Amino acid sequence: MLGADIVVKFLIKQKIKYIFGYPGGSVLDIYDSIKRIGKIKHILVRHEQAAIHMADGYARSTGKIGVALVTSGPGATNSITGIATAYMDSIPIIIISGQVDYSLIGNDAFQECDMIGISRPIVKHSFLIKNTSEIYKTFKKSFYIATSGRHGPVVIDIPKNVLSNNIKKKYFFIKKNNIKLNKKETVKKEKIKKIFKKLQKSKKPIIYVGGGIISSESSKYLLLLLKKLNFPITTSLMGLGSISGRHEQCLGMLGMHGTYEANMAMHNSDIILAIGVRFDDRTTNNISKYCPNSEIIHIDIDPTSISKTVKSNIYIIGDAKNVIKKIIKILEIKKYKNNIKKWWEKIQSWRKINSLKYKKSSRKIKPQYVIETVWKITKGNSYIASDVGQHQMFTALYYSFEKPRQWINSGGLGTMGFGLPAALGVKLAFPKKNVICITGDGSIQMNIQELSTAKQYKIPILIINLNNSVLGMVRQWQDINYSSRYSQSYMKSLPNFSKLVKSYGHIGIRVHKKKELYNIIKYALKKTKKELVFLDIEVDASEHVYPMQIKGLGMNNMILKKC
Amino acid sequence: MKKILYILLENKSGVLSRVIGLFSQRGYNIKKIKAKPLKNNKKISKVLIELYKYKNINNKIKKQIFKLINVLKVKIVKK
Repeated sequence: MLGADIVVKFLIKQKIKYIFGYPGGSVLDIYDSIKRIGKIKHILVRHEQAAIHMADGYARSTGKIGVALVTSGPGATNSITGIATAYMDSIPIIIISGQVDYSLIGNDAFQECDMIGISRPIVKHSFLIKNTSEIYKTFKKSFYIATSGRHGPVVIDIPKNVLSNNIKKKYFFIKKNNIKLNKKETVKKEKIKKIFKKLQKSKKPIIYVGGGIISSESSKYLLLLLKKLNFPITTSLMGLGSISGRHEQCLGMLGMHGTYEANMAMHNSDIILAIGVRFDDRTTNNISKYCPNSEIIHIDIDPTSISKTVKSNIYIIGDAKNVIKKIIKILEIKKYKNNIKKWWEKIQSWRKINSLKYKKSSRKIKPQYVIETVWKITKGNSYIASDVGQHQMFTALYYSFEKPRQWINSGGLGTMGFGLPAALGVKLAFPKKNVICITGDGSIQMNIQELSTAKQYKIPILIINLNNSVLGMVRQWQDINYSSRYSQSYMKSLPNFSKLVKSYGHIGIRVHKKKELYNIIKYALKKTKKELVFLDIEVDASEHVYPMQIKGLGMNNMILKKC
Repeated sequence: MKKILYILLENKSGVLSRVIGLFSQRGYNIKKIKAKPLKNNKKISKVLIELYKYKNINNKIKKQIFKLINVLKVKIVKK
């Protein structure tokens, strides 16, 4: 059997529906196999970075593995940004990259690059296959590594001669993979008891959750836990949707652009129950001033996350779902009781400040207003993919997500250009659901060529471009930290987006009247059953994202409005 | 008193670079390094790394190294 056939058959056996990629010399054998064998749909992108982002969006929304296929050399190097994005957010994807003949490796051959070396710091693991007979084993291992423990991307580098070689062995499906697992789960009874005692004693508790809840599929149990404990809860950017944004105990997002009540509650708490979070610098502000009176209980699957930035008092290494279940069990057995009425009163007083209010305008369209309008129409039940910048923060703050896996964004790396390809990946996974890509004039131009992919495969999504003709987040920082000296944050030659989109064969609408907005979004959502619609909305360029934490201070120092 | 990292890993090409990469990624400088296959098992290599003194990195780097798929054992030895 041909090496390339083994690869394709393995993917079919693993129930992979889509493979995203771009052909090139060293992977032509796989492309030939895809054509001959069929059963697996290949999506041809226009740039390899988008292939990875699509696989990423697919993986984020479904929880299954996403597969991307790129050629050697430039194909592999183009995919790096996508791989790093997935790595930072712990998303399980497999990247199959071509490589020159094994005998040519190291000879600076045409389209050769050391993919294993280049991708080493941004993958969970990577493989270079040397013989055709190793393909089964390696793929089995890769799939296992990508989806076990803390998920992550795995790169498989396959030389061309390995793909084109025939082996006499028949294809067989290996069940075992002899892999060492760093499973040092420490879900011990004493620790659960300790946690129970702490929760019982606490007067100002808060639960802080992140992407770990979503990747471990434990939002159902989190709801139960909330009911039992009656604690306030705050989520990180990646954790949005793990609990309904309209839940009465939910304080919204925390951190640099988090809500006032969430950050104040964190700062004044005495117990932080952190589940599936890594205390990223955007959520902690200055470590030395971080939550001075709090004891931290940290639950995470990754041992390296424990006490990495903030020292935790009690930690459990293990799957969030398991641990939450155990905590619920002990709460039931020991008849948990704790009165935190005073704490809730305090939180309500912070809530009254309403840190998300903004100056309404009768003429100009405010970006916050756009997001609120989208929420009114979709009622929080649509998939939202966003790019990176002000629009991302506005979406995170003003759109209340109802379910996990609805919020698709590049959190850790902050990759501009992520939104459009990721949204296409989500739409392929859920063809009958509304998928909206919220983007900005800077971000959309980073991967705008994928409008052509959307045309080729007829992927109808709604793109909302919050166009303020400046690089919003950069400008906001320049306003606040650099006395409004706008260095290179202004785009002088923006294209006419609606015309551009029309030239790709989609529907493009420019919106600049506030009155029209609601009806146009409604109309566009109806249209997206069949066609891709691009709304180019002219928004107020002077808007900033608030609240915003002051750099270098504690969690409780925030600017709430423009000075 | 020296602190030395004692690491056991699979004897394959590219494995040592993953370990060393971790040090460079996090900005640690290595003082001494020694690597050789075990006498009784050529499939496994032993690596000894001596570091300059850094504040509380020992446990962090130990965890990070142990996370690598090809690494079998990590411990900090004092001499």
